[in-house]
Amino acid sequence: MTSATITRPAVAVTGLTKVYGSGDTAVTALDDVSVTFDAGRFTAIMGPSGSGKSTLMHCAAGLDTVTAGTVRLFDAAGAATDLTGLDDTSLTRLRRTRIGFVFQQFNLLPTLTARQNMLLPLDLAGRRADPAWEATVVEVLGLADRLGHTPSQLSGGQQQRVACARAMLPRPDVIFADEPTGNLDSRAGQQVLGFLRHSVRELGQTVVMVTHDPNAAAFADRVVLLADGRLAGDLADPTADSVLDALKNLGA
Amino acid sequence: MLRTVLAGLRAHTRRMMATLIAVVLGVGFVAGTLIFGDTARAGFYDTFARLAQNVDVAVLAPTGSGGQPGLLTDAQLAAVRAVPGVAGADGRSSGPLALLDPAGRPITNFSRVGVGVSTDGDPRTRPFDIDGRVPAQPGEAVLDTDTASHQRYRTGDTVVVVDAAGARHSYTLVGLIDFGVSMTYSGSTVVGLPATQLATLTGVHGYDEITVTAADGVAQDALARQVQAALGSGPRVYTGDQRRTDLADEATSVATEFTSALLLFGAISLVVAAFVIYNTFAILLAQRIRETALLRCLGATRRQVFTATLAEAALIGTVGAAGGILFGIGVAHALFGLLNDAVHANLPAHAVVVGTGPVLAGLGIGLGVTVVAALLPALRATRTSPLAALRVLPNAGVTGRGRRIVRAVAALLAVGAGTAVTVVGAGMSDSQAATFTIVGGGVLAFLGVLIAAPLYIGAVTAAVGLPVAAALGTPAKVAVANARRNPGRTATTTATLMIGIGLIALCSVLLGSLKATAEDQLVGHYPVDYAMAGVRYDNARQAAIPAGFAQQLRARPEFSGVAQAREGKAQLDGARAVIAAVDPSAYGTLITPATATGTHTLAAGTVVVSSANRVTQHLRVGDSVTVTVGPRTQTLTVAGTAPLSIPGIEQIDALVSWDRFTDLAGPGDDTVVLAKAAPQVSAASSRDALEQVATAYPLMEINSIADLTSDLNTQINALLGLFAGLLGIAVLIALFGIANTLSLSVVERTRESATMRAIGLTRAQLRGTLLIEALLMGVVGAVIGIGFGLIYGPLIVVAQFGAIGPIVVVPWDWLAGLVALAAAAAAAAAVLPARRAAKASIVAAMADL
Ligand SMILES: Nc1ncnc2c1ncn2[C@@H]1O[C@H](COP(=O)(O)OP(=O)(O)OP(=O)(O)O)[C@@H](O)[C@H]1O
Ligand SMILES: [Mg+2]
Repeated sequence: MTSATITRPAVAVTGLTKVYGSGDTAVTALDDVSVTFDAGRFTAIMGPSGSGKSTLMHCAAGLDTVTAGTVRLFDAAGAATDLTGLDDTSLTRLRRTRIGFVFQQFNLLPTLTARQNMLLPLDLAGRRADPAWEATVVEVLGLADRLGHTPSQLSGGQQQRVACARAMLPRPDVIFADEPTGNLDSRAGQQVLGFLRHSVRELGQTVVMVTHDPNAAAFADRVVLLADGRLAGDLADPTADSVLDALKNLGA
Repeated sequence: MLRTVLAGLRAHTRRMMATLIAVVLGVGFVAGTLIFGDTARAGFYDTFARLAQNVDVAVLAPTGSGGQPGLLTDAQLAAVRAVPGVAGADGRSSGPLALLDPAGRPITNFSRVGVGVSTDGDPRTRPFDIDGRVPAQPGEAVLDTDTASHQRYRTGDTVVVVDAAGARHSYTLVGLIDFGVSMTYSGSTVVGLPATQLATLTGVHGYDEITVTAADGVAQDALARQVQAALGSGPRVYTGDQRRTDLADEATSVATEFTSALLLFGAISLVVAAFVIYNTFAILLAQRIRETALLRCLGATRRQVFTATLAEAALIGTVGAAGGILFGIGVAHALFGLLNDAVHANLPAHAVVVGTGPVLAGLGIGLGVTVVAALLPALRATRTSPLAALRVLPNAGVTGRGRRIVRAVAALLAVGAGTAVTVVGAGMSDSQAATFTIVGGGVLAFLGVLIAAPLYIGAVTAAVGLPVAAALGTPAKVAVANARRNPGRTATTTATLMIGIGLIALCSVLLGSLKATAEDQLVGHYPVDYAMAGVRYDNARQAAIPAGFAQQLRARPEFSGVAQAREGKAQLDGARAVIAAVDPSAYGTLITPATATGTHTLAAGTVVVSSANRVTQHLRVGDSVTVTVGPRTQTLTVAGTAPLSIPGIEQIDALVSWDRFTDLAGPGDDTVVLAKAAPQVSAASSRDALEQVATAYPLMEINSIADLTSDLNTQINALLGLFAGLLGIAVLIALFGIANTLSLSVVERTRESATMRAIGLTRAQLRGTLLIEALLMGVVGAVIGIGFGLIYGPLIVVAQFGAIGPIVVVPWDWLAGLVALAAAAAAAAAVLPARRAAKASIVAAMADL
């Protein structure tokens, strides 16, 4: 339907199983999930509450350990790194520049200004931001006159845009966003979603987003559905209606 | 509500742990000091009471002329014996008596010779225990057990004493006597002899005290009245019971002196503990603001919130105080060891006495301090509006402008008043009053510094942190930002360190200066190796060194220089002063004062005066000054001013020529003789030569300058160690405070830390940020505290020792070590909170809150 482009994976999850706890209280949050997120695409993950969306994201981003399976992260040249085989420090270093995060609660550091927050991952990696790229990101997010403010001086929408800039600046291989609009009103939410889509379509980023909102999912190129820790559907070029239908089918 | 309190405490046990420890330590120190006091008192009581055991009536000599104790006569003893109802009466006599060590040199205690005491009389009323027997025939003596063990004398050995005329007498030891811990003889040698023999040796004829035993059925007070009647007014007569009570009171006052000094340190620890408690509650309640608001939403009144908080504090205070009292028993035990070892306090051993007094005081103090410290945070909690429950995140750390101005004004007032008081104190001439005034001003100014702390702590932290951040990169930058984000909290946390470290710095300046000043007075700056001085009998009498000694010494090839010095009491322009002279062969060569102005050369009509001492400070070169010694007066011209000190002479105000001294004071013996070993002569052989010559002079002390210096070093270092140890508890509490603040901050920043970890902070880096934050607090607290010590230390030294021209010394190496120690200790305090922060799983931490 859309123009056929050569696709290349950004993250590939194979046979991913995650069990919390052990014995009687063991909860299988993910049960043998295999899914590939393509580079340069905007993917949404949806599913009922407790279906394992956040867990999948955390495992794919190397924030949490897996019980079984592999998580491979690909760089622009196509070389794969298996995240499940890395120790904590290597994972942390990798997260600085190769993975970006946007959280529901914004999670900016209150002691730092907007600009310092944006630059933090690069600072930690000991790298400088590419000035042209930084200018572009700031421009697109409309943050030019807010850079010296601390988070407490910014609105929720502004804070989330700063968080987006923080995720973007290192040009990571993938950006994970867990309900990025969950704490925003619909106007601010639309802005953030529009930006994420823009960053994919125009700037070539890869974004994986967890959401409950069919309207938010409609911004994505593809929707992956989860239910009870298993893959339960896959929609290309979703609209709010097609997403709603798919979710209803899940319930049935 | 109580159930909520208990549930809250149970949930936050770990957060309350550090507070609890602070209470335990603070109360423990105070309770321990009180327990120590009771125990020491009991010990002193036992030993002091022994001085009057089995005595029914005691007669003390009347106070003689010039405050010196007088003596009771044989006639008076006979009169007492003649009183009906007296079963027996004995005179106790004593006098200074030099005992020689096995090498033949006199054993002295601060240059003083020991004492001889009489041993005859009723064995039941003896003031000592004896192992062996009392001397029964000429040529027998007993010796106190302490000296015997130091000098390795045993029963059967021969000891030598020297009488007032310098003649030696040998005795065979037939017993060892033990006075327990008697303050009267503490540190001195005590030789026991029959009274008659003692009198011929010391030249003291008479008794200090007559002890009486009553016949059966005779009451003490009736007998005392009769004895008093027989003796007339003059001698003081006491019943045995009264005498024992008096001795016990004396004991109590000795113990009380120790205790009140220690309580001061205890109070400092408590203040520091109060800061820690206050901070804990302030932080906890700030963190719980949503919980509190929720309770308010659900209908809790302000009063209920307030009571609940105070109940929480009371519970912690009580539990902490109970722990503190147990800890205090250990502290009391440790204090005995510390004081006996470090300053040779000679405290009597006694089983630890735990009375109800210290227990109640400990409970009261623990409870009181905790509740008072929690009062302000509790009041603040009551102001929580129910609406706060609905707000997203409380915006911490932003104080209103108004409150900041009030704080600044209060701080300025305190610092201003403190400075004014200090300046007034520095201008006072009475050293005691000046010291107290300066200390008062210092406390006031320090209070201002503490009040203002939240205003400047951020800037200071930034200044200290800037180079750290530049060197260590992003985690350090985050740490600096974190340390600055909550100035009130950082200020309170570092204030505790400021107090502890500041006082240690102050003590180190005081003691360092004391050491330098004492060294200057005691040892002097002259290139001499030995200082010989006659032993002292009491404050007024000192044995002289015959001039022949210096002559014999000059004949020895082992010495390249020998100086004789004489000292005498004089009046300079009518003011009491000490003048001295050095023999012409050594003056200007071996002994050359380093003049501040003018010349050191002395002509017949000139004098060199001290540039430092108060009596002569106003004199300038060319001024005339009248010097009076006894009936003779001469007017001399000031030729120069210099710091004057000669080893062995305590405080010299003016130096005159040798001939002028003879004109004024007449011919006489030397006060001190100084000797310099020839080059290439070993210390051992110069010492041997000296002792050979000195055998003919048993009443002279030989001091090696090197030994004096090292003794002084040992003494001052022991004192410094003692103070550092006592203040160490305050510093320890401060470190718990740092650990506490950090772990509470860690809890508060759970989400932030998780975010940082997610976007690329390694575990090690996260630990690093907390360690650096602690390090900054440690360094800032130490630096401000030390700064304060550096201002007030020298001021106090000058005020206290102005009369003798003190040398102010700042022990920079010590202070640098102190900063490093504070930093390291603070970082150590951060280890646990940092580990906990780093251990948290990112995902779980994110889900929190
Ligand atoms: N730390 C944990 N310990 C035990 N069980 C967990 C833990 N974290 C998640 N789970 C369980 O794993 C399952 C998946 O949780 P997950 O948070 O991934 O769901 P979700 O799809 O993100 O839900 P929501 O839409 O409500 O955010 C749930 O059943 C949850 O209870
Ligand atoms: Mg979720």
